[in-house]
Amino acid sequence: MQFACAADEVWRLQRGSDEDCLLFQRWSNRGKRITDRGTRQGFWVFSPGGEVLGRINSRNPEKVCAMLDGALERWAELDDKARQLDPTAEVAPAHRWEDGYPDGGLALERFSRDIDERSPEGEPSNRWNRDTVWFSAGEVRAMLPQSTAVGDTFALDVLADRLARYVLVDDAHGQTLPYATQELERAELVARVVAIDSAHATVELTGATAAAVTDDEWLYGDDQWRPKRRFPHSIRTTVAGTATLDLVAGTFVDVDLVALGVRTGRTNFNGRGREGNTSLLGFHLSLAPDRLPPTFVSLYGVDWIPKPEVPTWRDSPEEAGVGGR
Amino acid sequence: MSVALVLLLALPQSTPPLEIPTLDRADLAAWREHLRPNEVDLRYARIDWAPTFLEGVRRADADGKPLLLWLMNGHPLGCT
Repeated sequence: MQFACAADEVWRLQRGSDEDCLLFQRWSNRGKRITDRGTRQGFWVFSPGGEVLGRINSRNPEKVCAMLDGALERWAELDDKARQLDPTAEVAPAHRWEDGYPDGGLALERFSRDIDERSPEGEPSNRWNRDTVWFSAGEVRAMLPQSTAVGDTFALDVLADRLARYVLVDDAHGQTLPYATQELERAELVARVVAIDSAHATVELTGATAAAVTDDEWLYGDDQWRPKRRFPHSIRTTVAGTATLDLVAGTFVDVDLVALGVRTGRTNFNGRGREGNTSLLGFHLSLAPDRLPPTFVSLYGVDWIPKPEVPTWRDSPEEAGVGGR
Repeated sequence: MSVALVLLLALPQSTPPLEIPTLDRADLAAWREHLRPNEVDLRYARIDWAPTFLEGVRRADADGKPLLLWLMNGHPLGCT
């Protein structure tokens, strides 16, 4: 590999006033803060010293490869000094959402994918997406019984609520918007104990969700996700799966959860604008292998996730009171 | 064919509302396989992406390589 590779969310980096954001802005914008709204999405190549060696925002592999080749040529022309780390890069961001990762709690990764009447046989659609959803150790312990017997059932209300609001949503074609509590028509998930082995209990999970947006009202208040306009949309799902619980530790050891649903309508950027108004969607959830924060983590409204001192959606230099530098 | 019948056939046909597919427990493994990303979907994940810009800068400096940075609205390794 001729590059060190990294991936990150662009909106915070190009708008934020945290130290890593300011570093990116200096490097990518000739030493100054970014004050315009033009997107910086795409592929960039930087020297560790902060020199832009290439940039492209394209899904065309030939064009991306040409950019990379050009960047390597420019890299080869740099002397040792120019390859050294920018001394101003020794910074630590004051806040990243990753800091809220729920150690001891539950972090799930969720895949969404278009399905049709032939599924699950047949070729899977290539329209899919990934997200995560978090639950604190306290939330998980409060959901799980300390002791149980085969045949017992218990509701996982916090799990059902957060799944219905944030991840059983129509994002297979692109980022969508969450549902507010008032927009949930149904959020149910029940665990039934089917086996107990020492401290571990195996449960079957069964549930359903339904949510709908029918008017233009945004119910999450002043937030970065607030759209200029809302479009009617809805989703209904049925949920089934299994989980293994450690009753002593009060944790999930394993999760294997499927949800199938019917979606209607669209949101601003979820790519459903030119499609039929309704189609089928499927989801799978299991334990997350990484600490990637959930898309809608800023909307959780919980005190166990640290929040930035200056809300990101007010992080323009004017709004945050930070001068360009 | 009468004009009336032609006009009738030309009208948009109302389609019945979609029903949520039946989710049998016996099919959970097949659904898991169908819904999770396959090898083709995960070609991008063969690359060892550092999960933040700053970590990428550190790696580039340590490895003596240029930094390839992938930025999207929404984290590229998550929901975009």
